[in-house]
Amino acid sequence: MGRRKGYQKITEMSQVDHKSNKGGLMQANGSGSLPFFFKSLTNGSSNSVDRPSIDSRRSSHRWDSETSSPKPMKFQDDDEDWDDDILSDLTIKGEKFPPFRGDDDTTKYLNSIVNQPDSISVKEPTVELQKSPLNKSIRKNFKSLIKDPLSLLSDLDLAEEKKIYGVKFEKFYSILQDEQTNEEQELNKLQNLSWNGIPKRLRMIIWQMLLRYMPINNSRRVAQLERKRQEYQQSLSEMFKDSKKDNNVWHQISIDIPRTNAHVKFFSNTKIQDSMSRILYIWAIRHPASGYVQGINDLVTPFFHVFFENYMENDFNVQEDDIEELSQSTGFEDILKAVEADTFWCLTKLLDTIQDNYIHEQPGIHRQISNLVKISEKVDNALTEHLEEHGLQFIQFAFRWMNCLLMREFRLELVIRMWDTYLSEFPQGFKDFHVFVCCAFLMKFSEELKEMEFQDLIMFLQDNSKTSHWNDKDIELLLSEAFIWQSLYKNQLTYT
Amino acid sequence: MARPSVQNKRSSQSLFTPIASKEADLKIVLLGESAVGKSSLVTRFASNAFDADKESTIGAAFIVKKYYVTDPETNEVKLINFQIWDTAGQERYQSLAPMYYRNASVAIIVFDLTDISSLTKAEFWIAELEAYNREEHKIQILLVGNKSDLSKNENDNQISETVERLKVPYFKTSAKEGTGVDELFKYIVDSIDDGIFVESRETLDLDQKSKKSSCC
Repeated sequence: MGRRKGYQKITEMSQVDHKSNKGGLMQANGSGSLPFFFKSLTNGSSNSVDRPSIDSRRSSHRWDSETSSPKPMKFQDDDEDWDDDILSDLTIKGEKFPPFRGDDDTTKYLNSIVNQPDSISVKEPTVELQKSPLNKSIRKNFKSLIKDPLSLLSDLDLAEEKKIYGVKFEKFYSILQDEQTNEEQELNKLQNLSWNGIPKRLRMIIWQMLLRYMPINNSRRVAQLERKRQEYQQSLSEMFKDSKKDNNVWHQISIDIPRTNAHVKFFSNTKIQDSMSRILYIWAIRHPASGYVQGINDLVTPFFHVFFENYMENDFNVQEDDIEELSQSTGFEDILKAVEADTFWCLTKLLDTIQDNYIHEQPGIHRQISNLVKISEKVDNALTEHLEEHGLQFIQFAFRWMNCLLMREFRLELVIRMWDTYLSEFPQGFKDFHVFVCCAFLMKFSEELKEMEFQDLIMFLQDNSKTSHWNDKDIELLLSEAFIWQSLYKNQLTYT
Repeated sequence: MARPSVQNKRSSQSLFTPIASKEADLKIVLLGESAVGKSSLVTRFASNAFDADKESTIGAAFIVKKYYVTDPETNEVKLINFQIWDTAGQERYQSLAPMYYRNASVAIIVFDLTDISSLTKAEFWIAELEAYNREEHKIQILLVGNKSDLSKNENDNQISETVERLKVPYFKTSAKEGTGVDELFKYIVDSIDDGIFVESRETLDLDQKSKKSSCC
């Protein structure tokens, strides 16, 4: 650096706004980058984007005809043994009790567990009831919903649901109502149906089933849920006993939680934040190879949102309605307790499929990115050459896409819709299919990107306002395009 | 501490965009512990804004800022095109850092004045960059203690000892209130080597335009 000149700054222009002259590019032009012979596939279904019928094994829209060719299922942990040793791998490090907001709440919370260690079942309302009546937003039958989530079936306004979701709802409904004969077949049907989106009222149940957390089987469901929730409570009381925590882990979580979806009231509520902190902390301690990594906090929010919504009346909007009052009311603690335990287990299930995204040097992410490069080269070589020519590396924009599963690029409700499909592709959805979604996402902007140089390229790709006008239909188109790329190029992926 | 309000300073500036005769790209990288305010510092500099609930940076974020100055000797207007890589602070992302500082001219190492443990991480980064400097090109290293609005000077002794030992220029800032941010970037601007300036594209564009208009 040379001599100091004492320059005088006269004015300045921030170049944050690069969108001003590009109004047109925000159009969701889904098929723009597709070869002509696919256009009909994606454009044809304007009302609801059907899952493209390329893969013959899964091509049927009529789930009831699929019994002849069930998809091979590879999962085994829907019963007693997954993650069973929750207490055996607890390691409690750290000596000092780090200061964190919510200690009192945690202590109170833990006391309430200790007082009734054998039961996760809902505490009978006693004197509290007079002090804080049941909030009108909480469903009256929340207790039975906690115990057996499928009890909601008897409580649904079928005519109303059919009005919104049409025949799709009936299909879901009949699968859930069925006294199941073959669990794998049922699951297979649910997967096929869920690909095109899940009705809001059924979402929690279906998500938990697709993750193999909630058994579809009637006879095991209630007991299994109760046991997993109880296990979680035990690990909580074990972990926070003696107020000993791993300081570094807790510190990182406690600085990230207040800035996780902080602009949504729901996620800025203290009780919700404390609950999410506990989930992340216990997950991190139980997975020392990765520990807590920034971005995992984002992954908690869709579960939390969907599960919590399950116990609320239809007119309650999780993202907009104030929950301060609600959080003081009877029932809230019980709901939160169930939501917290279920979220923990579902997060664990999800992260099990992408754990190498978060271990040292994050090899999973690097592999996903190199797969993205490879597929993008196949799909649109001119674009990848353009990016390379301008010195832009995929890692510079796609790292976040992988690390946060595109959650930073879309509004939460769109992410939730996306997860319907990802979960129906579980366990590959968040890993391999996601790469194709990223590719489809990149291709959406191919034409604009080819006009840009390094600076504009990187800023455009990092700017999440380019999807602010997106809706469910745009996401569904994106998913359909990803499906096409997957069926064409799946064999190009590198797995090691 | 000199504390001119940033807003006042800006509002007194002229609204028109000057035409620079020369320009230079300046690559900057921010490094430091998580949640010390790296992104907030950049946002304050680039947009004069502050968001207390800003989400954590994942990987790294790229920010651009055009900054015009007049040379006091020649009255020449120059444009500095700041290209800033704002990196994520968490340990897990550490292995990505070389990709971002490799081509940087300036590294701003940030720590939190109210959290003395973040100074240790700052020392780590300074050591890493100095090791890199011994082999490759020189990156100018600056140390910034942020969150001065929250600091009660409780760690001052330890900080000044460290700063003395490290022998790097040191600044105190508050991204929240805007304090010290202009001073920091003014220092960076003043240290720029004249040699990196080239003829401005803005002037070239203007020449093109005037040629076009004169011929038609």
